[in-house]
Amino acid sequence: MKINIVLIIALSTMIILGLTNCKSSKFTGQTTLLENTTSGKLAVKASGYGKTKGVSVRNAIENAFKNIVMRGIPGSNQSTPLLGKNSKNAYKANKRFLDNMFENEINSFILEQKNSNYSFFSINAPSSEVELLINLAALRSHLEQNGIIREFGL
Amino acid sequence: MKTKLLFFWSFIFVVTANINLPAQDTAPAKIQPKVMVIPYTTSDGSISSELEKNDLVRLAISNVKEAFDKRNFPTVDLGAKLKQLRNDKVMELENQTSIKQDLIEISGADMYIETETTINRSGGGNSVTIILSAYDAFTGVSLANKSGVSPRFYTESFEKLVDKAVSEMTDDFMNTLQMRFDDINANGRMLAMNISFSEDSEFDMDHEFEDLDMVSDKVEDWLERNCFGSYYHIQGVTATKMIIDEMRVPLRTEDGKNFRISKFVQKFRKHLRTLGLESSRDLQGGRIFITIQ
Repeated sequence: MKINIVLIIALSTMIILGLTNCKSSKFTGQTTLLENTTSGKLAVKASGYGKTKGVSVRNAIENAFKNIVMRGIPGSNQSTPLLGKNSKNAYKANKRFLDNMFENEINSFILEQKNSNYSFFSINAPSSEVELLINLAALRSHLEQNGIIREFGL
Repeated sequence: MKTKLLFFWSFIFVVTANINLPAQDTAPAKIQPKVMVIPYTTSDGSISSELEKNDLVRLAISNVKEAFDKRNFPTVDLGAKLKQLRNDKVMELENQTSIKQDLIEISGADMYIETETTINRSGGGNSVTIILSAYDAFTGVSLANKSGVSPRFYTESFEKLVDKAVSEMTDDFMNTLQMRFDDINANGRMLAMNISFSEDSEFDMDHEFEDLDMVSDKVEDWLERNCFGSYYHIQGVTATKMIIDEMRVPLRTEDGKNFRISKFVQKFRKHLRTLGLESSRDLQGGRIFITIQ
């Protein structure tokens, strides 16, 4: 009996830990312009997927940055991809650096962050919405300094 | 044994030191185009008076220049250039329709950006419209365009509206320009060439050689062989003139040096000589004038 209880507790703990630690890698284009800002900044609203608040917020932030870097945000002061016209090729060529940046470095480019209430209905619906004010100038400079994009000019 | 170990560690040291050494870029720095930001004027308007009288356009120009500065890209200052040329050709041409082109030519700018500000008044508040247009100074090709309108406010402080509107649009404008620069890197820079004949020349564009090719055909053949990616566009050919309004040349030579337009012209003139045509040339930035004697 005792062994069963221990097993159940252990299994539940593993499931809970698994849920909180699992990452949602779902990439969607659900990032829109929140408001126009001055040069060097970008205010966006992004949707995130995940079975916990932490996962979905993280997914939303990653999606926001991936869209800025690889797609551009229509109507904003970064309507074209930060990686340039051939963003797909640029991403492939620098996949290791960019994936590491999306995973570990993007928080340092966030000036302001506002998370909406978390509500999980299904894996096909976003669970969180995050409003972000991003330091676009610093992000561009970071990519320039690491040779991912060229500096302005010829 | 000791010698072997010493050799082994020396080898490891040399290898790792070389791995850690940053690759030395020995290629010369690319020559960047000179950019000048100017106010928009009507065909009979004066740039200098527009600059002196219109505070808003001056502010907009300053904001655009600031955007270039933020990207570490210096611009040619129009005000300073006007002062420098105060008693020169520009002032003689005051109020003439050609002033804009003359100023651009004298300043040596490769690119110019026209900045236009318009005040919009309405019952629902006031706003300003900003139009930024970048052009290649030699070919007139449009490089980037961006327009923006500030939000409406019940204010007469148009400076703040201009500041806000320009600030919101410069990033995107600069990104479009960068895309053009990327295009130039990939497909070569643009030049324009005018070929004409001196008054006492025995030749003209319709002069036929033994193989029945005319001078214009020979020129076109040469352009096809020597332009970057065989890219050239002939605006028109008459018996006395040929205007190539756009042709592309690379930014770098095959051995990695900066491409010199003067060498390109020299090569063309040598080709003309092989055809028995003597010529003279004038160079104005990216604009080439060839006169066949």
